[in-house]
Amino acid sequence: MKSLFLLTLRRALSPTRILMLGALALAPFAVTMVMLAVEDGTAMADFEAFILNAMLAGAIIPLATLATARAGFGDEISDRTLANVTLTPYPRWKIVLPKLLAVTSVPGLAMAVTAGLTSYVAYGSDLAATWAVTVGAVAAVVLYSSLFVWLDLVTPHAVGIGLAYIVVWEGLFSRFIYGVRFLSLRSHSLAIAHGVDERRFAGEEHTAVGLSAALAVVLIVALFFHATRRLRTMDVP
Amino acid sequence: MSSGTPTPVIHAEGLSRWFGSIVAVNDITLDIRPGITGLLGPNGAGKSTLIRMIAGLARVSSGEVTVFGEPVRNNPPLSKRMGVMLEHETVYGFMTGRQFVKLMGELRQVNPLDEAVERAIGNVELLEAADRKIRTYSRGMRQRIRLAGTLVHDPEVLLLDEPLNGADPKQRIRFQRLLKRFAAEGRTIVVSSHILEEVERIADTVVLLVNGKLAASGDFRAIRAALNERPYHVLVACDSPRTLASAVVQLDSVEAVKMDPAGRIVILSRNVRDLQIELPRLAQRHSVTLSRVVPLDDSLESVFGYLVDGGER
Repeated sequence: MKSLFLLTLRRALSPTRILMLGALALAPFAVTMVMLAVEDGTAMADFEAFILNAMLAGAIIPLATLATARAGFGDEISDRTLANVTLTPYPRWKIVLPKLLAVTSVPGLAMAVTAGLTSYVAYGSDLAATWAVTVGAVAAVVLYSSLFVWLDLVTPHAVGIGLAYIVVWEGLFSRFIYGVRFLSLRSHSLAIAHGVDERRFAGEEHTAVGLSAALAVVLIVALFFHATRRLRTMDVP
Repeated sequence: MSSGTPTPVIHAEGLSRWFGSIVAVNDITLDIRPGITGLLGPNGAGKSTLIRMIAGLARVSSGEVTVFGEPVRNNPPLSKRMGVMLEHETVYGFMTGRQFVKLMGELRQVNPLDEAVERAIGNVELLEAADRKIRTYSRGMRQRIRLAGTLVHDPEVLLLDEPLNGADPKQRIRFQRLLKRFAAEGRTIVVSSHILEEVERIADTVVLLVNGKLAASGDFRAIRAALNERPYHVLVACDSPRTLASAVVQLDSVEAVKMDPAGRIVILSRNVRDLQIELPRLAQRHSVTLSRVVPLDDSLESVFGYLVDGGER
């Protein structure tokens, strides 16, 4: 398991991905700095709606996760090295788990740092608020990673479908169509952040904290099991 | 590992695989025993698909395949006893050769690992370059390090898909020697190739695939004998075709002679070796200048086609 974790981590930390992650991680912090400088004190509602909800949870985190999730199975399917890891005595779940952990840890760390720093500055060193946003960001990374790692195993068009999902589902439908938020990872991550600090995202539409936490766990477990099953039944290129 | 056991190690029964309307492997039943078996066929014959099905990497559309009597799909413990080297490159350029073989050993739970890694790299004679990044290797070296990765867990069954691609003549000889040593140890080795002579040098038993079907299988010498009896068409262009044609038809090695529309001679012969010797002499004797002598059906496809059709075409 350690070998698979390190192999996947090595792929997830390719120079291209590090550059991409760096740029994505820097963006919300930079925009926040500009907002603070220009407006001489940011309206918290605007900061949460535009920087944290729309930008970080709705675009930056899913994009960063989509890029690194490819290191799990997508890259190995493309370059046909997946056989190296499937022709092993390990049960399939022991292949999926370290890969999922590796591709979650890289954007998880990057997004935790950017979410933490951005909110620390924006909320004026409010540690409870900073902690809530950081937890919400990490929860979003775990959810998106589970989804995109699974997606790489079920379709060769995972990147295209992933992008369409981010733009159409998370960007449009879940924001404007009532009910879709029950199936929105962005909405669940906001709810989890709200659960850690009730002051945060109080004005944003999201599901109840308990329901979101439960749905998140169910989704992660279901995607993990289906990914394991898929790895057992698919043709390995 | 016992040697010379008559029990088939690999057994396929009615094995088929189709992709949409394309049938890649069609109703193949075969037994493979310890020793070296050559899996021979032209490109697109279904060799790689068959190897991938035996390795458990590809689903079967119908039929079944077992190794050591066990199903190959969803059977991870079986991979400890099998070494699979696929046709395409499955190495990580960012690793050194040693790191790659070590990783393969770790993934197959080899213990003690370092000793096994050194032995595997030594077997492919790559110890000196083992600490270089794989991305700096030549194609032949990458093939060898892949082979080392395949051998690191000392598998009883080796499935090698076109393993000699990119190898130079010296490496080919080393490789053949290595495989023969492994076979003498009682291992079961399947080597696929589209080059007849290559397989002939390594394998005692051969499985011939054409268009996804099993064209022939068994002792290579018997199949070779069938090939030797095959009639060949040879095209001859010269400055006096009618003179040469009337002389050539008298040769024992020639079965028939005809002229093509361009005025060239097409000779049908079952003994091309004799024809090769006799034709220039005959031309010289009749003061005919030969400008072109070309075998018309010497491609592997035509050889396999002959075996499939039993010489009826």
